[in-house]
Amino acid sequence: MDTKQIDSLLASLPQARRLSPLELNAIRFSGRKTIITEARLKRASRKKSGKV
Amino acid sequence: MSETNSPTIFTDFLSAAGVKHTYWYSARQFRDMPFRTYFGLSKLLQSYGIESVGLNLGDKSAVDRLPLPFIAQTPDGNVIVTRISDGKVTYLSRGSREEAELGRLTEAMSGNVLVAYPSADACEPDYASHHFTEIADRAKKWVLIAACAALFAYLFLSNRLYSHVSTVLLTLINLCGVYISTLLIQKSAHIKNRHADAVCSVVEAGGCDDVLSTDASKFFGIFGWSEVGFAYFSVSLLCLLIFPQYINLLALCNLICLPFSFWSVWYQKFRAHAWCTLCLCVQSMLWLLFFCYLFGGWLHGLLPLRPQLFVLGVSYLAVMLGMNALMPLLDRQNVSQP
Repeated sequence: MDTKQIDSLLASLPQARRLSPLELNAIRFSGRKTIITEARLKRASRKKSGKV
Repeated sequence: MSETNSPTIFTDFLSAAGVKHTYWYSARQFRDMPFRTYFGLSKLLQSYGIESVGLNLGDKSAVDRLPLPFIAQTPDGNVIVTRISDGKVTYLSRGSREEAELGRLTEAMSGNVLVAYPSADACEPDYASHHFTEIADRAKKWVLIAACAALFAYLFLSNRLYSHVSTVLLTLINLCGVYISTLLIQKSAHIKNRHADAVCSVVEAGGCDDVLSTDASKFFGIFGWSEVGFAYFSVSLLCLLIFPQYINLLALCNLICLPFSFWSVWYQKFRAHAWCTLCLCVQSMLWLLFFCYLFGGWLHGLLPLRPQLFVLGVSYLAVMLGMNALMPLLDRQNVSQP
């Protein structure tokens, strides 16, 4: 990896941090089609707040 | 799009990043990934000469500073962001290009992204060989069509079938008959075909399915009429092309098959109470063939019966039995059951 590119990217994103291999391995691919709509956002936030 | 040709996030990403790859190899690599996670994908990308890094943005509004394309995690799944411009975002999901407001994306995102840096020579391992295989695979179908067309043209011309209007029409009608019978076979085998669906809906929507699901769609309960039809038209076409001297025998076989058309129409009207457009097309073709034989002057010299009639009959039977043996393998309902 060109560390200069990643270093300059991280420098431009002061609040960003690298994900560890364990964290990377926790993010799975569902295989589902994902469409970003207001309805889905509301449903997701209701799910997050435990209302669904 | 069949399941085997469905885009994956990996193939979508490679396409968006402009990295040379073949769909079949890359999709297989993604499917066989041991870890179906960002970690597994980063290792797979590495094998393609694409270095990547997973980031948690912290401040999601910084998303427009990321190099494109990148993969963003949302609660509903992962998307590949390909363009951010004028407050709008273009992203890919399962091969579909979608648009959304930038604000909606940042709201949807969890903050976790996978950013990639393809090297200048990044591409699929053994790309040249895979690409050749991909082209050869696509070419197979067209080579087959071209070979059949060439053979057909040779036989049609060398046997001078063009010299008489009736033989030209007989060839065309038998060709149509083969096509319609193929559609009927696909319908019987529950193989989805939009051409068959379009033709079937002409007289009565769903009529073909209604009629083909009845017991009468099977000859003696064993052979589907679609198999009988396919055997009839294909053998008749081949006999006409290869042995045009036996056209009288074909005319005799057509005469024998004609009464079936009355039974078929009677059954559809009074028993099935549904009209099968494809079946009606087959009956029409039988009658068109009859008129071609009649006005072409081919309904002569039918008696005494010749041994070649036996050979022709056995040929019809052999093709019909062969199709009948193949049908369970073609039937999607059998394939989908465990």
